[in-house]
Amino acid sequence: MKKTIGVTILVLEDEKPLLQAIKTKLEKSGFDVVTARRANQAISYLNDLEKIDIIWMDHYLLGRENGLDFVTELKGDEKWKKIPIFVVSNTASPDKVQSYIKLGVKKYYTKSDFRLDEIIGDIKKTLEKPEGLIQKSE
Amino acid sequence: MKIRTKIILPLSIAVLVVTASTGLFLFRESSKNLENNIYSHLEVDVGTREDHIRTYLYEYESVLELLASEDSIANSLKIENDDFLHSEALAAAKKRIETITQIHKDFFQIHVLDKNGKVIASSCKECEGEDCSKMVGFNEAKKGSFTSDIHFDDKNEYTIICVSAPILDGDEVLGVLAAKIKTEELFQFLKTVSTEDATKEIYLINKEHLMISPSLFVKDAILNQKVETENSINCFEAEKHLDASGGAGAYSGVVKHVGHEAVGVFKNYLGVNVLGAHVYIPEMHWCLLAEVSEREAMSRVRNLMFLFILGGFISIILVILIIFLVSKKITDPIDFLRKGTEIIEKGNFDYKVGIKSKDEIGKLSRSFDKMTLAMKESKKDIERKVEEQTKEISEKAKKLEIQRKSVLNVLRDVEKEKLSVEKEKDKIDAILHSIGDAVFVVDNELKITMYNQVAEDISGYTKWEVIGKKYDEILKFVYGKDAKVNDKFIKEAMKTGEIQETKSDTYLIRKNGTNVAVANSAAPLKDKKGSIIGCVIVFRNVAKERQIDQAKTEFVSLASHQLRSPLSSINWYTEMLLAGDAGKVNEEQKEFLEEIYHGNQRMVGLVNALLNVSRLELGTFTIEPEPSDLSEIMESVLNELKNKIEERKIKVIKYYDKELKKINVDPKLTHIVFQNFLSNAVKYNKDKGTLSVKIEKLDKNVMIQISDNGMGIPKEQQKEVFSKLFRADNVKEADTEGTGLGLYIVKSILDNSGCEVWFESQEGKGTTFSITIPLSGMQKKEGLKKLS
Repeated sequence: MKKTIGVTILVLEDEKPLLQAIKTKLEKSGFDVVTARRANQAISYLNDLEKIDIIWMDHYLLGRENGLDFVTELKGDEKWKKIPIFVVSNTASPDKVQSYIKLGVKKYYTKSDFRLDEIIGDIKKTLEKPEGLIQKSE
Repeated sequence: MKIRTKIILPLSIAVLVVTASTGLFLFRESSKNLENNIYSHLEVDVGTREDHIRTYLYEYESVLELLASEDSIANSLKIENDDFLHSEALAAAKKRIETITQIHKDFFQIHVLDKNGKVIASSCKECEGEDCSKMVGFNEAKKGSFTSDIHFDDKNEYTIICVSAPILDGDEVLGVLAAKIKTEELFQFLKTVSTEDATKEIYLINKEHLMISPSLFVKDAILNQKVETENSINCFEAEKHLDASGGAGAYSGVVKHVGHEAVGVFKNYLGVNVLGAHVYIPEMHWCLLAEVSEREAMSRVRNLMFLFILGGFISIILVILIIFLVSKKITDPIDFLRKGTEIIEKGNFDYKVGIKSKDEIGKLSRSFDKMTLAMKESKKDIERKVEEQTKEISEKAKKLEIQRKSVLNVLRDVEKEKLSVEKEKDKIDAILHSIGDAVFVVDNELKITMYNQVAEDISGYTKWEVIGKKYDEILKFVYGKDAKVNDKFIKEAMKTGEIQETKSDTYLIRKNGTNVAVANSAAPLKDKKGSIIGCVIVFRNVAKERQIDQAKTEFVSLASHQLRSPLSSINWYTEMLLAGDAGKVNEEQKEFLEEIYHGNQRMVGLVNALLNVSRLELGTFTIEPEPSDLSEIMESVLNELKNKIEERKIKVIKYYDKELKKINVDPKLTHIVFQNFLSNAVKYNKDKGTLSVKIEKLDKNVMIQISDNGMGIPKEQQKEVFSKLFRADNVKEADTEGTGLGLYIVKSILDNSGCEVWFESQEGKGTTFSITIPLSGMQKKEGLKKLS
């Protein structure tokens, strides 16, 4: 096993193949990965695990809650609101994008337009310069 | 008030007033005069009698003195020795005495008295030898003549005065000659002459205030009646003054009317009110009083008063009578005139009042008659005119009748027309009602004139509720989230004369308050001349359509997501494989994987384009202009294409107009537009070709030109270049990749944002695409989604 860089990412994605691809690539890049397909699952991970450093999430999730609900919940909690969130989804509807940006996510990616390594590269940059990489509204 | 009364009353009052005041005045004057008259009479009375009394007294004295001085008298006293002589002397004396007594009848006794008082000779034989030394005035007479006061004689028969004078022989007093004189004559003078003064009394009083002359009213008043009245007192007052100055008993030559005052009204010795006057006779210490009863005196005044009053009455009555007669003379003709007017009023215009007098009444009556005549004439005139008018009117009436008949005919025709119009209207109504959409018509005042069945159904209002009212009072068209009223389209149609349509999310608020999605169009109604007389609005319930649209949008959204997911999957796995994350790959594997990756990318591009196209077609995309820098957008696109540009060694020439500041454009859409053009300019260029980009500010807009010197577009296919999924033959042959959607998308965007786009191209030489954006910027468009 490759040595990890000691950063734990929580990945929220409802589609299994995609989830797998993301996980594999992240691990290959040296991250510790925790996966969830539902919001409440993610919440329990947040509660159980001591440290989640980054969140990678889709808008569409299994269950009733979607990404926006989840983010809102996160940002409302003292412990979690500082965790950088990267939204990677296939919907490109501008109002969703705006909503996420307003909530304070780090960046929003349209899945099909970006390569994995691009996104991971951005994540790594964020770790180095947490204040940097401010999402511009599109 | 009658004229008569008008004349009589004031005049009578005037006469009355004048008469009364004059009368009063005159009366006062007269009575005063009368009084003065009486007083002066009284004064005269006393004045004259005073003189008389004086005269008498003087006469008595002088007679006696004269006699006393005669020798005979003196001799009688002188010769005493000789009897004969003595008796002769006596006889002579006696004779003389007798003579005197005979001459002066009031000398009723004359005595010659010796110095002792013995009667030597006398007119009365019996008295001779008597001792009359006690006689009044005997002693005084020795000194000088003496007149006594009035007193009764010895026998109390008569009232007498004793006058005595000394008989002198040189200076020797021989004796006294004394006479007793009756006062009869004296008293006679006191009597008044006038018969009118019945109460006038003139009398003497002595210093003891006793009457010494007879009283008219009181018997035996002499030396009985005391008179102590104002008159008498005042008289003796004068005495006091006199005694101070002159001597009593001396008749001076100067006759003085001393103490002469008409006293006025006072009470006499009987207590009766009298008017009196007095005079003081100082020689005798007598007062002569003249008095007349006031009543008697004043009776004359009173008579005068009665006379005046009577006179006044009579004169007033006379005057009234005269006035009455005079006024009658005036009012009678007037009355006559009046009676005349009554007759004429009854209609007899031939009657003449005919007063002949030359005065004003007469003139009036003549004028009146003239007027009557004139009235008669004018009456005739009027009657004639009336006749003429009546004729005219009846003619006019006939004409009117004819007109009326013709109007009736016209009305009948109008009725017919009305019926046919109604029939037409019914036809139109039928047509309207059978139209499947809601139709209503408004007039120039925006009042609803027609409203069909479908409109009723959709709106919930019946025809009767809306017709005649302004449409905006009933039908509310709203749009947007805040339900803003949107009925500009109707007014716009009427203003511009062109058909207007509503926005895509317009709703109509039904009668029951619910919303119904409608699509409206308003078409102006024009008359033959082309002026706008109203508007026809058609709307239909597009709820289903909107639902469908909604569903479409959501489907597209979802579909895009669903399509993208597997694409993403392929993308990433291929990426990982290529990256060697699943193990090393050999060249051939890499080649295959790259094909897969490449193909996938194309799919992604296609899905994106399709998504945009569907949004464009749905019209649900938004244009949100904001001040943007075109050169920046251009640069970012160029940056994205950097790799490809470098790969094909294309030369890029840029010109950005420095004059151009920021312009209102939607940055995202502008990005898409520039991206399409630039990627085409790269794709369809030749290797080492040129790509030039120009952004230039013109008068009213900005022009952007993107040129290449590549393949160009064949002429016969140029018109299809902007159509959906079109790819020209030459590019297909050249085997370049493309969706055929890019320019379609670009055209849609630019059309919707108020910009223009065109191109020039020659096959094999190159293409230049030009866009103009107005300086005011892109038009804002509201929608549901953005293009990506």
